[in-house]
Amino acid sequence: MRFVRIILLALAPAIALAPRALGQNRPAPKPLQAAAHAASPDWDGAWMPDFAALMKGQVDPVFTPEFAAKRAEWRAKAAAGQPVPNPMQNCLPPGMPDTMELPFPVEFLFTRGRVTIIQEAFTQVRTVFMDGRGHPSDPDPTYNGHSIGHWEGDTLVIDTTQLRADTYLPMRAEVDFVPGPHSDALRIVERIRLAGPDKLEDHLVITDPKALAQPWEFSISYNRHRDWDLHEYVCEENNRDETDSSGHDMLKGVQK
Amino acid sequence: MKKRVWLVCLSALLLGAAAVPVAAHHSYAMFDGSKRVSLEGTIREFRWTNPHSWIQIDVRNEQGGTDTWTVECGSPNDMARHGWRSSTLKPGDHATIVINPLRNGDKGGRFISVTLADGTVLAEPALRTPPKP
Repeated sequence: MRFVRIILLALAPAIALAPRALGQNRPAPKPLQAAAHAASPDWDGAWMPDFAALMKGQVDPVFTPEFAAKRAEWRAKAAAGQPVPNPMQNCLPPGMPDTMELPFPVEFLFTRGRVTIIQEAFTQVRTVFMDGRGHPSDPDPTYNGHSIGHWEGDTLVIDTTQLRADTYLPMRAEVDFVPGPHSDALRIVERIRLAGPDKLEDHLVITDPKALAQPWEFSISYNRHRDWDLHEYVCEENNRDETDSSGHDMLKGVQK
Repeated sequence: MKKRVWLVCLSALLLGAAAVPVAAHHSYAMFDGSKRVSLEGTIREFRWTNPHSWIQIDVRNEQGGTDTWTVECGSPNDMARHGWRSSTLKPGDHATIVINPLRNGDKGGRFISVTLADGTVLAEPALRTPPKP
């Protein structure tokens, strides 16, 4: 112990003088600007996705050959009764873009220099930086990525990158619980605007040069509920899902 | 208590034709969506938790004993928005619960509806026809 203490004391000056840039790879952000939008639109309330609309006339992503083969492999496994990827079963969040189309409400908060999107499911927070910064040069992949945004008139435009590669894309035409794969090059551009007094539309354009043969576009329509509050959602509170020895979903503690 | 029939059940079933995309917390493949089992018995416990609320119900079996069935409901967040409360079901309540049973034959299933002693019917507000597994 004394040996360690000596070493630390010897290193102390070096540690104190170490450049602050260690661990940072971008300049300090600009101070928060005045109101993100001169007259913030009324996006108050809780917004629930309209699933009937979501399933109408939407298209599935078109995969590159390598990623199409990966999905075909998962479908074959599913057909044989074997498990397929589903992180939500273990209380992991699904990641973008699925974050925006869960059967739970989202809300939008406007503060100086940022828009914050709260998703009730898994109590998630998406921070959209509106202060003119770019994406960090040294990616730190996360479930919901790094988001920067700006207003174009009444449309909020959000650009998201740095998404973890181990999340999955929600399919549309082939709804069989076999999700779609993507790579770490996934990029999501959203254009969000009011489409009616109580209707919000998020139009997404999703690209992934490694996994998608062409951009994947779809819209999520939300209906407003001004009288709903978002509740806490801690998935690990009482998650009884587990997998058995062959990887199949089962429930804990059920009488045989 | 007035007899109430939650019309949410009807509207949910009407919407059910549009299957929910990958929105499920987990695959519903473990439940047999083509079968319904009716469980008449006494509520042992109602756990109001995420990601699922749970009902434990004691049901008399053919051997004259009691089985404890485990019933998975939706998220309390969604149920609360459709009028459910943690106090909606209490230990000791007599009730009949309809479920899609577990495929593996264990005594459990996915909640569809409950009829209380006074005739009130409460349906699963988040019920949407899951896609065929």
